[in-house]
Amino acid sequence: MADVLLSSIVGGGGEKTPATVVGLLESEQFSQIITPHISNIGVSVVFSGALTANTYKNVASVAAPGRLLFAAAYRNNTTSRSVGLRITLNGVVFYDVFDSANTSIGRGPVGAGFISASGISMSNYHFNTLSVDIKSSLTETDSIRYAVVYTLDQ
Amino acid sequence: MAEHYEDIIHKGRVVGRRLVVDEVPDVAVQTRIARDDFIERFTPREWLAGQKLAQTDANLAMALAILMGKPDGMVDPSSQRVARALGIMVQLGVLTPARAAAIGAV
Repeated sequence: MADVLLSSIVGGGGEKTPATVVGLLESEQFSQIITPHISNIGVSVVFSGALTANTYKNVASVAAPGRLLFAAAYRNNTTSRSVGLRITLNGVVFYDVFDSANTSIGRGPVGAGFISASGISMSNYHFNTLSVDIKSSLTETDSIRYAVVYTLDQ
Repeated sequence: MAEHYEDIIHKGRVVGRRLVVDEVPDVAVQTRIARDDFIERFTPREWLAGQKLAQTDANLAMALAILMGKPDGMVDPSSQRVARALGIMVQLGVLTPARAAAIGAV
């Protein structure tokens, strides 16, 4: 008889949160232009506010169980810079990327979810706590935008 | 732009926070807001007769939108309605014929 996990009987209990993701954009790699994909699905995007060069700024932190569906950050003008995105699930850094400097508007890292031809595909990462941080290689204001989509459990 | 953190409330309690940055509306939205403000303060006849509008493109867009009764504050420079609206504004003395011609619709 095959092993049966207790979580499969209880239903939802004991679901594991991923510790890391492999195969997405890595630091110092050239990120994709993602704004058309984000626009296609109508995700709310927010300016970064004031950023200090090479310093992460928290843009969302949640301490309640839920699911992370999408998280990304991207350039809002043509000044050359690197854009960083860090996602922490249950206190463990799940994704931390600082992309290659470039000047393309709309280019930036995606740490949860995937861009596709017609928009994006959602991830479904369970968390008990979530933290999302962004950074720029420059000290600047509102030159980066970000989008974070998550659900909270009932 | 003003930035601040907004509480994330779930099941009646604060479970986190998220960054919120108030955006400056784009030109179309600014024009609409300004147009609505004009409508509240003056009737079209008052501000056209009194030339309360500066002759900037943004304000012209407002004037045209009001004359045309378009709700979104946007104008299509190629439309005949714009040409008619510009003609009315020339007759009212809000625009000089040269200025109206420069806009390209008369």
